Amino acid sequence: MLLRHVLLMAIVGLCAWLIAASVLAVLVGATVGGALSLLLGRRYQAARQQRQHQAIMAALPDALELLASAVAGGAASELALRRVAAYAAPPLNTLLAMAVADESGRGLGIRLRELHPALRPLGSLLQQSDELGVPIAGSVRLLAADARLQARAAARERAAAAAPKMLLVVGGLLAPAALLIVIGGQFLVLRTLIGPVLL
Amino acid sequence: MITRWQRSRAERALADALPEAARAIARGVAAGLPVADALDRGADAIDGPAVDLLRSCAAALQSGHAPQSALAPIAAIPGGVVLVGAIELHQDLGGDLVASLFAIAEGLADRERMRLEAAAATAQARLAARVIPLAPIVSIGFLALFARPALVALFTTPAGLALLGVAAGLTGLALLLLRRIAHGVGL
Repeated sequence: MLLRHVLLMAIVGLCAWLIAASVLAVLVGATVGGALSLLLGRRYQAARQQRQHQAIMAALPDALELLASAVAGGAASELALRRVAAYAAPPLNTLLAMAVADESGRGLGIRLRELHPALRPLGSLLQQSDELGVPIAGSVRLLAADARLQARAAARERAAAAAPKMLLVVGGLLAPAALLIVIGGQFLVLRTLIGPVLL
Repeated sequence: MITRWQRSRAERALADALPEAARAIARGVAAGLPVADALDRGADAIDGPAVDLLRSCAAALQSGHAPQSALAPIAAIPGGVVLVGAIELHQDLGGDLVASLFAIAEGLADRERMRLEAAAATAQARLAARVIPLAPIVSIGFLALFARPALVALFTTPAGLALLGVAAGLTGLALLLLRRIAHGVGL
């Protein structure tokens, strides 16, 4: 992490030296590079976490459905969750496997609640089931339906945001690329024709 | 390349057929059939690319193969792991397989509906993204026909080559970003 910051600071500092050839330019360049590295690093981390959260939310309804079916058959929640983890999509499968493998002595519900915010409702349900002995199959099915609704809303939101994002890329990058060739070529000819007259 | 594209198309067709296949199996199980027979009868009840798949899985189960290996072709389809999981968990732990299969079918159909919705929402932008990258090539063609000096200046001067490089870079970056955005919504 530190190496990446230093590397980017050095690269931007070097570019500044090549452009302005002064110590001040190197200092300003290095500072800008450091700030840029910090900003990009945070942004990358946040985007990664968001993608992981989306993947978990998308995989959760199916996993809950399998869990509901398994506990309805009479399996203990820990055994059912261990088996469900094998069929869940990543990264949810890893989280479920981690929750089951944890041997800290705390209940499964508490472990799930601590692992990821998306698993809190399931964790609460299992914790209550452990403490009060209530059957959970029906509640897990309700949770699955709720998770499906949430995943649907999130997918709709992403789809709605994708169209303007695409148009932004088309208008901001593709169209200027095309214009650059036409206008650039004409500009170069004009520069050849007008340049000697102006000079 | 073409083989990969064909395989991806075949996989997509199977994934599209999976919700209906899951419902057909669920109906068979609800009628009291064993899973192998439900798969076989399910194949009779549906059309399309999933028919052969269900039949081969049913045949493998009926000939005594373990569910894990018999249902492996279904698990290989996107979304198929959950379907196989429901059947295997039911065989090992019991439970309400019919409700599970119907719910999983709904989930799979939902995923497909969302993909279509995303495709509809981004249709205009995707068309523009397909057409506009051709604009630089068309522009070069027009310059060759109507403004040859401009074309010569573009390809022979350092400034012209730099402009071409920047245009190519912008186009490449745009295509990369478009691909990422499309991937983000499952297209």
